Amino acid sequence: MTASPVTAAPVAVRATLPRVRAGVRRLSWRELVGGGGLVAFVLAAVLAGVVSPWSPDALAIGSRLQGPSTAHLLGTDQLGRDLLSRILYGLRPSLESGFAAIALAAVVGVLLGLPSGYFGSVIDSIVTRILDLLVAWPAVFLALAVVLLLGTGELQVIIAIGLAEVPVFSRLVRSIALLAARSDHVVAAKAAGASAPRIMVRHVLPFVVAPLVVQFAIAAPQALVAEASLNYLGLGTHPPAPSLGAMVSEGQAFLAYAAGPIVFPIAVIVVLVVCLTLLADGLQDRLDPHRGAERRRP
Amino acid sequence: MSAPRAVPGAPPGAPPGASPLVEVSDLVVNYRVRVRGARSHAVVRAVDGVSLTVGRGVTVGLVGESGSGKSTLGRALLRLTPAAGGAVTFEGHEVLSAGRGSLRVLRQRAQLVFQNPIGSLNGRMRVGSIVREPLDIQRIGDRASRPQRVRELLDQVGLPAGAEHRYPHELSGGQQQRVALARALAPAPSLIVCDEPVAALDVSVQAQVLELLKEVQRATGVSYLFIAHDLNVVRHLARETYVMYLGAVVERGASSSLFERPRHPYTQGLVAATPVADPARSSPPPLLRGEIPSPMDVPAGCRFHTRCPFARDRCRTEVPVLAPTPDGGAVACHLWEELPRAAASGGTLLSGR
Repeated sequence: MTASPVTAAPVAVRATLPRVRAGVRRLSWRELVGGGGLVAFVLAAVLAGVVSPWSPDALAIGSRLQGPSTAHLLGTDQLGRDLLSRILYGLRPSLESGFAAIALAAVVGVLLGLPSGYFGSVIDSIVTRILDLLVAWPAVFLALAVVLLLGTGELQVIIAIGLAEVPVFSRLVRSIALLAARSDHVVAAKAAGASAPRIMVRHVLPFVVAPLVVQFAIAAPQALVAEASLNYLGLGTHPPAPSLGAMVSEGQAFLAYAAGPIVFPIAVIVVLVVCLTLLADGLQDRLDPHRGAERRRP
Repeated sequence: MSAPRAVPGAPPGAPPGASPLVEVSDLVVNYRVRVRGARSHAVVRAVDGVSLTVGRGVTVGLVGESGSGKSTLGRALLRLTPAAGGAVTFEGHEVLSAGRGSLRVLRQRAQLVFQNPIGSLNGRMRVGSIVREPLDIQRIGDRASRPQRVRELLDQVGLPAGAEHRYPHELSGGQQQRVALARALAPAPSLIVCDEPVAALDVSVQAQVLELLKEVQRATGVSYLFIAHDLNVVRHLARETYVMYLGAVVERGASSSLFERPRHPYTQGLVAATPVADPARSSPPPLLRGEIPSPMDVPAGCRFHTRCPFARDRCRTEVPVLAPTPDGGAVACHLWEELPRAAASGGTLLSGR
């Protein structure tokens, strides 16, 4: 509010820095650790081509199943490939399909949940039945069904995980739309002649966004684990492309000779999931009015 | 300000001004309520055959306890709640069966102001967008002129310059209600249904908002259907008042005579229950006892007989109809001619004047 748009650029930059610092100070430790960790992982995945010491597919038959060393920081796998490089490259499909799956679930959830909650009656019944159908299937069978129909691959994994997460998002959106549709500001918009799509987009959707972000963060670790599981089952990326789940399943056979190929990918998944969970907790605290007192650091 | 549009289906040869603005006859609004344990739905008659007329440029009061169906009536005549029967005519056009075209006119010419101002404003929108929205929806003016119109509207309701850039939660309750009024005024309506517009405000702010409503009426000639449970507020504003009880009108009349000499025992009770700022006068014992009965189980005969101190056998079996009174009003009571005329507000019921 203080800086006027006419001030010169360097002044504006100097004025922004303290504001950023103040913003960071207002974050809870959960948001700081979780968000910081997530940013680090995303950076590592994006910059895998730059920071990886080796190519993820470079074979070195002479140095198979080695422990950590200065040449290979996390050691090598059964084909002598550098584990650190494969993990860095493997992060990318994990994060990509995890987030794409949840984005898909969120979009479909909004498209189903918004009219379901807003209109109620027949539309609500139809949508609820469709969701019941999805929920009735265990997620793994759902994934297998998708793979059976569409074949294996990253896109199929995204669709499978996304479908499994749709009911959660749709129900969340529906419950909020149900409340918003009966609020006075929606009645006022109706009285002014607003169409149903306009009301849904302008007067209901804005109230869905914040809880949706929290749900996104809650669903993200689940989706990452699901992605790794599907790859572990061999339903995702095709070898030799690296993926964390596939690395675990490949390393399994050589567990008796070296733990590295299976322990390090699992450790990365665990840390990533912990970061996302912390972030989700932090965001939930921030948006829950009843827990306002404890979210602020002294 | 836009002139009333000609609408297909208008009765021929009815010049605007000749007919009343709103004419409601025998309106019925039902709610279906799921009864616990029962397989079928119970039907609640929230509004049970109400007739009402609102003239042009005037304020009509509608009073009653909570649960009397007054808000439902207000929403049904704007077609925001489906009606089960009866007819509503607005500016000469039938409302309940209106097609797209007539409905569009209704959405422009009739607006609504709510009790809870913060709830009636979208908290994610700035004041400017809130007031502008009806203009966008109805395509009133062109894009370039709308901000200017918004500015005029905010000015008209007494909001300071720059208010359009604020969010509703940054404003006081009175200012929020001014925003709601500006939004209602945006499409230049001829009717605003005010649903308890000051009940949620501080007393000092109430007076300001009521004064503003009067001022706006003088400037624009808009009519108000003013729904309230506070009789003092209605008396201050409305020329004519309807009293509703359990979904039906029990008394109607000019506000002056209705509040000075209420005829229906229920109105008498309401008037007697209104606090009077006079320490010398001891408050009379309350005439209205108990709660309003459930609208799912309306008493037979006169719907007020369960709480009426004068009820006789006839009242328990025979439904009274609205009968005209000498002072131009109407009352739905078998006994109104025999009952002692109540004294003015605050006086004891049985002692007369």
